[in-house]
Amino acid sequence: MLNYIRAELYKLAHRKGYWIFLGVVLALESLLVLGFYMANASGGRLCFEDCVLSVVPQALSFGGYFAIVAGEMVFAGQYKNGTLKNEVAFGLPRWRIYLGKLIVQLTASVLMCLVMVGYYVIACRLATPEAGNAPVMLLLGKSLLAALPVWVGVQGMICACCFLIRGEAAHTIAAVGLYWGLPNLLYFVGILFYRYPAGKWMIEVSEWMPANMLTDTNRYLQEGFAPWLGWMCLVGGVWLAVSTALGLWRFRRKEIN
Amino acid sequence: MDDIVLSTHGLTRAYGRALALDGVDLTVRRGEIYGLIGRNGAGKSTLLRLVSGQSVPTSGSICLFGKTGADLRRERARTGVILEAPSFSPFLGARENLEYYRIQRGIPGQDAVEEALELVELTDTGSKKFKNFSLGMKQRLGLALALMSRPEFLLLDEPINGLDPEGVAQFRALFRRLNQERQTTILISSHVLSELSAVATCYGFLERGRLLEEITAQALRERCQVCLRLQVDDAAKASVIFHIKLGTDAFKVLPDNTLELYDHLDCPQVVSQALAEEGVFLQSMERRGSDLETYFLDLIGGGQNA
Repeated sequence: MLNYIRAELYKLAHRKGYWIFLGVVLALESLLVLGFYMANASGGRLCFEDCVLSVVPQALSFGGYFAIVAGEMVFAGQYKNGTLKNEVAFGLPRWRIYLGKLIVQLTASVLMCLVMVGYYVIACRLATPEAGNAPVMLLLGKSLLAALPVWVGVQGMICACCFLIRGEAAHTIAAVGLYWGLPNLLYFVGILFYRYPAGKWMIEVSEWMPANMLTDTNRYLQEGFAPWLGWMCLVGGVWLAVSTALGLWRFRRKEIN
Repeated sequence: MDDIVLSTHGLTRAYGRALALDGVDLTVRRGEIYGLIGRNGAGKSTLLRLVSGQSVPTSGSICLFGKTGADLRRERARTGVILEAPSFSPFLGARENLEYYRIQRGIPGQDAVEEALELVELTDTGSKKFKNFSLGMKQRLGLALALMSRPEFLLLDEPINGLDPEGVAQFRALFRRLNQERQTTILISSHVLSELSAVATCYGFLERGRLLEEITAQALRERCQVCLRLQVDDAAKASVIFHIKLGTDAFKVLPDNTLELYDHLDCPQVVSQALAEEGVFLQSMERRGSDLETYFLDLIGGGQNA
């Protein structure tokens, strides 16, 4: 397994797209921070705490999309390029191929997350004054810690999409559809049938979907950190377990071209 | 049993109601270069895909290096495979692609990459990415990957596709060298029967998912040998005439007063005259013999192209 993970990391490190994507995100972050700096230069009063904490809910939600991108980068079109056959033909067990890719997807995502968040925090700290009115790093750390299990769950779902759906565009659409489309669909259908128990149930379920769990930081404010973390772990764990079990089961006998 | 590298027993693969392979019993022995011959859609690639684990049999079994069932997968590490078009990450070069698989397969030492590239004469690609490779270069890289782990058994599906004549000759020489120096057993499927006949020591003929025949190159040569086939009224007397009057022992007596003469092929009139002079009645005489392609076409029962 270690060899498999090392090989995947080697491939990822040689993939220009990964570094370009990271570069683009860092450039956009730089533009945002430059905007804060310019606003302050024009008489604004944006402090470090505002700049960091105001973007946390969006950042957590975006993390789900970044997970999709990282998943695609690691899977690297193996069906399109026909490279899975080289791995299977050498006798590598399919579970190792599947879990190896998943572990590397998670590693790549965490590394991306650390670089993006770290860069943003440092840039904000350099560009804006500290007001000292909130424990920024503690809140940020707690938010990231709570988001991590859900991101891992989303990653598991993306990995399953990559392995089970051959077309590159098709598995991206499926992943985005499950992450973003499904909760919205459930919510809107729920509203349409709100008079019926099924409608209320759909709205309830949509609130427990990863995309909504990541944006709904009210739970933290209302219930406290530990229950929030618990719910996030539960949702992420269920998504990871279900998608990985389904992915491994279906990939076990999948025809590889 | 140790002598057998690969055997399949009743190997069947169905896609819906269509049978791509139908009860194939094939045997590849250690040290052989086994030529797998069949038309498009005969089941050659399906067979190789099943052996290499890309597809799962509907029924039947595969035995690789004496192992079957759950143990079969581990034995695949002793094989090298080129299946259909060689496939690699398009954004990596030749060395990076091989290095990726070297790490993944736990092959010690970076020399393995260079050695494999040297074997297929692909050391000068520089930083060129796989997506920009010619078909021949892709084929060479595919073979380099197959050889990198020093396999005991090579499975090659159309390995000379896209190669120029020089490349074809190099591959042919390489296969012979691997077979003789490293005792690598090789199974090659190819449409280019002339090339196959230059290296194969054994053949298997597939048609519509069924293995029609397995035959050694020696036996095939004998069957395809050019000869004069004669039907006479007294085969015993004719054989004495061949021996004494024509001075040759290169003939075979077959049932029904039939003989095959492998000598005097360019002067059949001498043969008929010798028989007539000794009072042997010659009922018919024809020149027979074929090459691998004709043999294959005869076997599948038609003049359709291989």
